[in-house]
Amino acid sequence: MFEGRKDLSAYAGITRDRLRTAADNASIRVNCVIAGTQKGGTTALASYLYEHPQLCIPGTKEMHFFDAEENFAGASVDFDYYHSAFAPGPSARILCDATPIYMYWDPVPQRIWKYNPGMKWIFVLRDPATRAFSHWNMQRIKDRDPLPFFEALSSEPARCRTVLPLQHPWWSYIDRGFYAQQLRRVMRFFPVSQMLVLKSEDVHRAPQQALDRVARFLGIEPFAAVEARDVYAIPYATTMEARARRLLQQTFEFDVRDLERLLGWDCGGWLEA
Amino acid sequence: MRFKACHGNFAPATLPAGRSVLEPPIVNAANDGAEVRIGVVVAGTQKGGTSALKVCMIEHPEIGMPQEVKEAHFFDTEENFAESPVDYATYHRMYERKPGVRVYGDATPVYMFWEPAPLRIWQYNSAMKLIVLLRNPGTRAYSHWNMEIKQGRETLSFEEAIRGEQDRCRGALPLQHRRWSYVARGMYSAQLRRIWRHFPREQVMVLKSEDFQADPAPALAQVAQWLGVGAFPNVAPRKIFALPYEGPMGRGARQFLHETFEIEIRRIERMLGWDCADWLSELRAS
Repeated sequence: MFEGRKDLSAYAGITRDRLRTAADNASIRVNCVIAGTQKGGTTALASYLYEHPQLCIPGTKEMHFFDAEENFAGASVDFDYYHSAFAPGPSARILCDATPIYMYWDPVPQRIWKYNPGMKWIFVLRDPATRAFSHWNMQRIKDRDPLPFFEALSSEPARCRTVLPLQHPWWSYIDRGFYAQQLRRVMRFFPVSQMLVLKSEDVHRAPQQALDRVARFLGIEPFAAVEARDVYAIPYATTMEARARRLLQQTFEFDVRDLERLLGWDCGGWLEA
Repeated sequence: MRFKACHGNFAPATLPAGRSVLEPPIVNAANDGAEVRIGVVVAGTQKGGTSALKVCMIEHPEIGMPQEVKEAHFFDTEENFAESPVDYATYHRMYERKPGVRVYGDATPVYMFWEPAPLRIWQYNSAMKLIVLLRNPGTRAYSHWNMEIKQGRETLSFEEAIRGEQDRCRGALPLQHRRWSYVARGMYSAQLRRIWRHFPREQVMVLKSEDFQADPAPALAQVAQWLGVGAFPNVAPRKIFALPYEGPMGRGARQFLHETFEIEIRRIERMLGWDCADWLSELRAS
């Protein structure tokens, strides 16, 4: 019923609690989203969250509920259907939907605000240049992009206009990397106290500290001891060309500085070769 | 299937046969035999000199502008888009069909700020031309606040208003706040990117407000050629919508604006190949 390529049940045994039926879920409400960025390590983060007894994440990880236009085309939204994907056990306090396109998809913050203005947002952000290259490598492996990386970047605006009025989920290599404006859009609807922004390399290198922050943010018990894991790494076909690197540095220089200012971060190392 | 898995519906193979993936789709939503069809919008920025440009367009015999209303406000009015299909006749009724007119225009400066507007404009006419005037976002904010004060719609001091803007503006949710969006309207880069996502750069002309105000002639010559109309009849500088200010901007507000907009201004320089040293120094001076 819920299709998705990432079955997280490999990381935890399926319990009776998790198999409770949709009929039990009449009054539940999702109160946490891991909203991106794609290729930022959201799958790794979700795999840790999946093991926490107070957290309920559907095994398919990505619900793609708030970015599916057909769900919002009618006069009312069928949230029962959304909720039927969740089977919270008695100890579950947080119901979490980890769908990394949410931070990028224009109408999503408003849709989520209308659904639950108390929603908590978690973001995992990565150097936008390496994110773009990782994204292209993924599309390459899935046979969804015939163009070399530099050509794909150079023609991105024109290519992406071919799917208007929607955004392009596949070829938006650069556009997905404008994190500051995506965060500002969320901040228009939600106070910053409902947003937790993590750096991908921190989640990767020091997951325990990142999970401590997640636990405090969500108001749940600390996580059990974990070790770093590579959940969704794919082999790259090539290395990034110098001209593509330069284009991305030019494009993202001030967006990275904007992000540093917005979050009080030091993004030293980002955009470097 | 309502849970969209992996966005399987975006395969290039779904494009019509024989068309390159690089060509924009053909959209003729408004090609309904209407009396007029709007071909150019002045999309902003508010307080950026759009009124002066609009007056020039009204005086031009080959450009048709709305008759009765000051600003059309078609694409930022939510009721106009509550039902499908959109009734463009209400838009077109604002215009009088005139002989000699080669292009009809709409100057509504909130369009570049209003999040759904670029998409709505694209759905109306994907060949639309857009003119955007950008002014120093810090002085724009102050001019905006002065206007709200004069109109009795603002009670806070300028510094209080810009520091508390984000929380205050949530009062208008789910919409954006039209009155108190002093800083948000100055974040031009995201607004430009939203326009460019829908329209190729050849269809978007970006002008610097300060240059336009000092000497509109070169920009007007450029606009006339771009729109395919004759020269503008009157290209002398003029100040259309100047209000007296409450007083000079305070030091604290100026500092806040410099901090807020410094990176944004550098980004605009990069995106447009502009030199905005004047904007930065104006906000730095105390």
